[in-house]
Amino acid sequence: MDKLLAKPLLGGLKKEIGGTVLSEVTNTTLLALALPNGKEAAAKTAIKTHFGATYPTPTKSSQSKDKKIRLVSTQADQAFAIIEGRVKSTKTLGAKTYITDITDGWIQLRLSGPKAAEALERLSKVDLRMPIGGTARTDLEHMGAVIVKEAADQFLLLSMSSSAKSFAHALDVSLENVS
Amino acid sequence: MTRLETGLINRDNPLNFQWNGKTYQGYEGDTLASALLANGERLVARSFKYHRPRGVFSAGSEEPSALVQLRKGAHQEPNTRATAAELFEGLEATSQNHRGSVKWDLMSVTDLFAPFLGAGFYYKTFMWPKSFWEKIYEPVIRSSAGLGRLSMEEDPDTYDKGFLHCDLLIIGAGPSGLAAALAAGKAGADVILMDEDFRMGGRLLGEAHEIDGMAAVDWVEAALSTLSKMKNVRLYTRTTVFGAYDHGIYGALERKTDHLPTSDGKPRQVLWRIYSKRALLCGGATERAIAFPNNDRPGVMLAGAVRAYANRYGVACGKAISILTNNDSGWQAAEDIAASGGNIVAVIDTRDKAPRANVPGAMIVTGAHVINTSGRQGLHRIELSNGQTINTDCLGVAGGWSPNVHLTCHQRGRPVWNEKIAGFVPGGEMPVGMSVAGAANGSMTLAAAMKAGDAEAKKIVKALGMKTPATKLPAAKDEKFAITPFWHAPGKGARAWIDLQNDVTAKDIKMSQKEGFHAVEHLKRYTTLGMATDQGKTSNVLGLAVMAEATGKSIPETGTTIFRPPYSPVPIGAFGGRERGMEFHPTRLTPSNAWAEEQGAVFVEVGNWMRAQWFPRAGETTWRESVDREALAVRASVGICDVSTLGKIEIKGKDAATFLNRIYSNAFAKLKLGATRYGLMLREDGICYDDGTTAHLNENHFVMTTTTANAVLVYRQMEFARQCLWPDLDVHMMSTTDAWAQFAVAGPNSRALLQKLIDTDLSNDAFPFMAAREVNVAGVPGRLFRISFSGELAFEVAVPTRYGDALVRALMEAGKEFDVTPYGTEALGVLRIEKGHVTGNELTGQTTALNIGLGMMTSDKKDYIGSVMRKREMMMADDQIHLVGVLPVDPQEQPMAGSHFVTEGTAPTTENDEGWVTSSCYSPTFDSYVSLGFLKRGRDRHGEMIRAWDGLRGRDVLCKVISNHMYDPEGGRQRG
Repeated sequence: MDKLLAKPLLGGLKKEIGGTVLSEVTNTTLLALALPNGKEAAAKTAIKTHFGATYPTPTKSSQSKDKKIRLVSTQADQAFAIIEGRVKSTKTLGAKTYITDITDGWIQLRLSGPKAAEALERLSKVDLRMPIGGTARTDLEHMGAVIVKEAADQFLLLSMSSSAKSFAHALDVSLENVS
Repeated sequence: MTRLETGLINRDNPLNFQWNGKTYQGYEGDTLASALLANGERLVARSFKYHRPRGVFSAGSEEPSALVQLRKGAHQEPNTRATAAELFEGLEATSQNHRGSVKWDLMSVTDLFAPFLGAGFYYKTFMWPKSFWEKIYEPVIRSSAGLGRLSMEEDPDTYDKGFLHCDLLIIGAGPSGLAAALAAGKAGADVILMDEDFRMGGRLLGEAHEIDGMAAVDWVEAALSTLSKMKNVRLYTRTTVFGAYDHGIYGALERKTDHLPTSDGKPRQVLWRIYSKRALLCGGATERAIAFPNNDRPGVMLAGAVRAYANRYGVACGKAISILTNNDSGWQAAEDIAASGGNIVAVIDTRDKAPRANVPGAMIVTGAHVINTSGRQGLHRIELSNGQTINTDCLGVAGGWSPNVHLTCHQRGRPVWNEKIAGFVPGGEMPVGMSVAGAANGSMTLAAAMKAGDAEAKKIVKALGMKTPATKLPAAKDEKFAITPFWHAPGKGARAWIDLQNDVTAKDIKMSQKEGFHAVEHLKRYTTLGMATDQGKTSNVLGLAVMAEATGKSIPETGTTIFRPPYSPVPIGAFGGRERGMEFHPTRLTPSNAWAEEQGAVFVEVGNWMRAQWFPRAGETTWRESVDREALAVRASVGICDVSTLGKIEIKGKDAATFLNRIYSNAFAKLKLGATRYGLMLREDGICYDDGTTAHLNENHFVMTTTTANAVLVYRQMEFARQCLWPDLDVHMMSTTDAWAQFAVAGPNSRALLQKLIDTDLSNDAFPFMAAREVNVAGVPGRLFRISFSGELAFEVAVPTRYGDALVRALMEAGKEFDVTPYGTEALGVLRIEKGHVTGNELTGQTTALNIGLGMMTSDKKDYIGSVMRKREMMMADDQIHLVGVLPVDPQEQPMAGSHFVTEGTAPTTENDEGWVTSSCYSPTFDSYVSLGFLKRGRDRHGEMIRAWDGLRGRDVLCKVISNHMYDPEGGRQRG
């Protein structure tokens, strides 16, 4: 039997209107990291050693030096690691934290450009004036979502993969509406 | 009615528009009302109840009379205020609420019957005979009621919503709002300034004032220029803040394209939700009228409006304008109008005081009032209390000003009476974080209003921890402001109108008082005063004053009324926003969706999921043919069903097993590695709420599946248990419902099929019933569970979602030799009913483990959620309902779900009710309809005959009671 072939959720969507771009992010791995009860400090140290990024505080994210790994605080004792490209073995880290690969559970879209914030304003109840690197767990158009403010005019948006089409459509409509 | 030399209209941009089919010209900067007045159209509407001729009354959103229909076809919008509708090239507008033309309205005959149609008429008249109401009265009233007409077509426009955050929301961009924005903006606060008008400036646009040595209009432009350069200040015109909600949240409607000929595919309006730390209401004040006989003729207007039409729009509202006033603003209006080139013929002051201004050429009358008017379709003449008559075609009435306190009332703040301005000012408990400045707070003069706006803004920024800026207050004067209330001039039997939009007269209010409806809220409902789309902006205080006069009490003693959102009408379409049609909610797609579409699958909505219901084949004419074929194929060989919608939860931690043992009612503490187990969950009250399987995949790592419907609920309940009930346990959860594409591969050939893709030994010894492992699926790390919903030898195979599409194609390819058949949710249902497995139909939130025949799954040896309450006496009683199977005597007769069980020979009554049918289908395996149901003491009644009685659908089916495990009760097939 031939090896099964992977298919991106939205076929690598990319849409640009007047310099603002909505694109599907496909080359990343998403890991959920949970800190064991009573061993949180050791786990945080191990996470920092492994990813080169500090375990983030609520509503914040941290990045590795090469900017290829971002840790996002998602709930008490839990963070997501968004990793660009290949992931080195998490075996050692796995002894100190609970790791779940959730790459396929989420769609990742990036909205960037001069109208990015204005388009997102049509969907996000969360205050988008958050500092750069700020994050929020919220919902966008009735879909659970994580917002990461990557730059003043750039947002990484995560939502459930099963409703990826609806999620992209909601952002697409917003972008069209403000353009 | 001519254009004056003045005004803020752009004469270089003339605009053509149509009114009742006739073409007119106006200018950029006009409203429809100002353009109609400029073209001599005084009669623009018919009143709601009596079809009286009505004209433009105000110059703003408070307009009660000039309601018109805009645009054509599906875009037609009734009941639009001409005073707030911005003119654009090609605008088509028509008058409404008349039969025949607006000039010769056949329905005006209603006015002749006015003596019989006063307040309370409907309540008293249409009581008898009772049967007439539905057949005669209501249809007749309905056909003549209402104002404009809907197009009855789908709204072709789109709408959107959005969310804004700010430190300070300033509502209203008049003098106080602008002064506040300048101060707060300079302090660095994040400011949003919103104004309902298409041009900011408030009353500075409609009145002649001087600020900082320049014309007020120029000062407004300079202020706006300063504000637009501040990055921390956002300006929104054409945006009405319509409601004050909890915790500093405000609702606002921005009219994006209403002033344009077409929306060009963009949203027509945007509904904003504004999260503010503080809000400053600078909403100004609304002028009110004086009640005197026949005060509703076209040409009788508010004095401030006549002034605004002259100053802002360059329109003289009449050739011979008169002013009736009880305060100084009427004099200022007369001065402004005269200075603009308007012809003021008379100023009548109800106060017996020396003239407050010099109005050249005007007759000055003091200590008198108007007692009647004449003019069939527009004002011609007024009659004064001193016997004088004056020929005039426009009477500006200045009855005083009511601060716009509306938003302060939205959380039940009750305004208080201020004797000095003869008006209600904000009082009581205001919405959290709101303060008020300017005329809305009773600062009725220019310098005072600006000072208040500046001071309030500084107070707010200080409270927010910012440094108060040093701003120089703009130099402005306080105009004279004095009022001696004069509300109502009794006349010679003619009606004096209070509420122009709902046709409420002074007589109606007195009638209300006579009949015992003294309380303001009763008055409103009895007479409909203030209950129209204008919410009584120009009439509420006047109505109250007339009630006070009738009861002999003061106004504060009589009471006040408070306001609810919205401040002005908001289209339902705007509330709906973009959530229309398929965008009503998000759609979730299974990993095999594209493939299923290619197969021509028929889909069904399951929550937000779209699931394949069945896969029709060529030649199949009914859904039953497809479903029967699919079910039989599973039993005979092998079928594939996408079950990715089942909830999947990863549970990790050294206490995960302990946690599961407390969540499930059956034992889970010792579930072996590589095994999966069926589990039952109870609520605290001992009732079942979900079932599913949990597999022990790795050390400290379990994977739970839940039903599709309860995926979120189970996760949420377990989070609650984890965080609140047992925070000491080391347990962590993560939903992976969307991360895995999971397929049921069921049927005698399922093992052989899967073995072609998976190199792990799947023999019964190596991979027995209820085994679970991580396996390699065609080169991809996957998971395999040997579980069966159908009762056949079956597996569920999972791969990461991105490989789901490839996997279903690979399974179909590998299964060709077994004639593999994809099956949908219908066949899935048939197979599980035949097997006697429960789903949501049986787990209704009212049934116990004993009811569904799983009593043995409720352990007595451990503590778990629901373990105590499940043992309540009633829930353990012998005469409970039990899950059974029922087989109709005639195999082709269906005992439908919802049918009630009644024993033979008894009447189908509530007393004789013995249970009900929960699930029913045609079983191709048994070549008969089969059903599941709950029957009283059903466990002990196998073999008995019972009726499935369905009164709703007129069925009565005789059935045999059997075990719910109808198919392969020993389970040999699934273990084989």
